[in-house]
Amino acid sequence: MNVVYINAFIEGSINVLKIMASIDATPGKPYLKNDLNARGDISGFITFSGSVTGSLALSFSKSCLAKIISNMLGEDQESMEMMENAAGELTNMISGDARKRLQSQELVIYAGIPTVLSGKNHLIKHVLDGPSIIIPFETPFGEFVADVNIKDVN
Amino acid sequence: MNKDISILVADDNEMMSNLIRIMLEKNGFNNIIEVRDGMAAFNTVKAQKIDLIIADWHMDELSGIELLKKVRADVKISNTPFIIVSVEGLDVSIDTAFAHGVNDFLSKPFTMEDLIKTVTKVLETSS
Repeated sequence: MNVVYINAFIEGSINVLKIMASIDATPGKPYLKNDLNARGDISGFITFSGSVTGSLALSFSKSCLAKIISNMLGEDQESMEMMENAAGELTNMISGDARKRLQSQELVIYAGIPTVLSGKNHLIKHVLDGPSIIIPFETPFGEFVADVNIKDVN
Repeated sequence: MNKDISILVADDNEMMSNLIRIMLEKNGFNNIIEVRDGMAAFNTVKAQKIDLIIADWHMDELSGIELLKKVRADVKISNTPFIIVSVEGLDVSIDTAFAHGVNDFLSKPFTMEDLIKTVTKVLETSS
């Protein structure tokens, strides 16, 4: 996978968490993932088309997501519905932020409507076959990961 | 600025709707109505006086841009100030919104300052 895409998702994740929740997310070393298991309790999932094809999942632990929501709203909201709302919206915003960064490199990327998956053992089925890349992020409130599998169309 | 004005927030994502409401309330706006889709937003604007619409681009039933078109096409409510909120910060999306008469476009992610600055500008230029 082109490192430009990895960097866009890293920068997008850091930017969105900082602006929306005043949370500093520190990226770790990306690694290959060869199974379908999500690396979190709740995942937002979104597909891409245009200059690239593929998909992105953002997987959060419940505790990390609850803190993100709390920081965003200034109040605790720990219902499952609110967590799913947050996972979907964060995925939407981070993918949008990354797409805007890639637009400056003349890549036109369209995104689908985000969906949400949850449960301790939920699966991430990417659009593309083969291993995805996990970008782990540390925050003061726990980890989340970007699970991405995209490729150039041409 | 009169902060008793009625502001309609239309977003199918409850968390984002709550976030916008909370940001507005923290800045003294205390008459905020939340709806979850564009058609409910249109019906609300038709049924009662709304001074500002803040709508997400992507919504079920009627998207933010479709809601904008319907509002601008209805002579009784066509002058209602309108802000679209979206991650669609790509130039073509912004151009589309302005071509259909949106007053301003707020790109996600945004801070409370971004939101209030946009709301203030739109209300001042629309009054």
